[in-house]
Amino acid sequence: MLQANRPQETSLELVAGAVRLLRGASIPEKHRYGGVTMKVIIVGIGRVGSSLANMLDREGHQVTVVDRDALALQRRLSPDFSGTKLVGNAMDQDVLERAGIRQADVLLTITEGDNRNIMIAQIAKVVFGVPKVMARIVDPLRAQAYRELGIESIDQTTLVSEHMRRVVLGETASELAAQREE
Amino acid sequence: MYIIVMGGGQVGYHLTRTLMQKEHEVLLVEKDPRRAARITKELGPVVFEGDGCEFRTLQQVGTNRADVVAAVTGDDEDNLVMCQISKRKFGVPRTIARVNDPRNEEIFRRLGIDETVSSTKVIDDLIEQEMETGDVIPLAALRRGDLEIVEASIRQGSPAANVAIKDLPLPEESLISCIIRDGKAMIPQGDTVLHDDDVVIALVRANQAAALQAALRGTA
Repeated sequence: MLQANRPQETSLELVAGAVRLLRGASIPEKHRYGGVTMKVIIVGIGRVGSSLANMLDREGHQVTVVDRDALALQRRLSPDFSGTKLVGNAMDQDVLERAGIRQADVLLTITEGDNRNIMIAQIAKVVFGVPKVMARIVDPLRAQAYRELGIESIDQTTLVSEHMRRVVLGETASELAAQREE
Repeated sequence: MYIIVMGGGQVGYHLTRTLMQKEHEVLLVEKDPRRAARITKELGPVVFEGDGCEFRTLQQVGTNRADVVAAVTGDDEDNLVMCQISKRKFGVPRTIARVNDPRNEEIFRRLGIDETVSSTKVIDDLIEQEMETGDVIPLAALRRGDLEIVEASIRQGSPAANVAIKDLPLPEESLISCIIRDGKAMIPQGDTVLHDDDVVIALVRANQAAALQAALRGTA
């Protein structure tokens, strides 16, 4: 842990930042965690994981990425990525130890499997006591169930469909309404 | 009892068949349509085609009235989620998870799964038992293998021969509960002295079995 007394909101801000990132918005300067750098572990380097990893690395955080696929780590991360890359199965506690989970401030698990993410998030939280843990869960009902069990999750399906409904249909509706008034 | 078996691999198939023979109400949930069809052909209409991690499937198979859910797929993370959701969201009183990586047993327990079964660990335990030199024989494992009942014979020259039980350096969590001497069983007291050729039945915390063995037959 880099800052023993880091403000409580910083990791929340990071998550809020991740939400904004998933929504395609850029993070405003003032939300960049008040100059605090964090040790972040990202599990699963797909499109989301890699863009998040590249971004947090550029912002100066200490990023460790874990993926079972060595090729994904090589291909998807930007050439100037300065964090640590680790090939391995993050459901394996030894791999998490090697990723430095005991010192981590945040763990984000974004593999392709909902259940893998659920299990990794619970290991991080229950076994290693990582202060902030978030899992991507694509199945909205499963996401809901685990939220009730205390596992924070990004529910991508609901997020995307809500965005499309609100933004796209909302905009179209107001355009149509304006046209009809004319 | 109504028992739901999740996963129609080798373990799930044979488990379902065994439970059917005991006349339980059994349902096997398998997501692969071809495998589900094949097992239906062999075992009859006891197979539901669906993903046991999905809420809809769990609702359709009446998980809320199940007495036991046994998740025995080859993927630990799936078994974990099936058990957790069955228990927390459908109130299933007893959930059993197959654990493929034995290191996950401890994690699963901490995450609220009632029972875990790891074939890797069972076979490893059997091999370990075979390799012990024979003086201390595990008879039974209690409470998920945490406590063991073991049998040990007191050989000539053993450090325990001609010593009162209360004076033996026994590990804290062990109890000599029976002595078989000349073919007769007796319940020992603290001042009972062990003889050559006594057979001792003891209850011991599994991780202290080695210490018990050392006390009864020396470390050599």
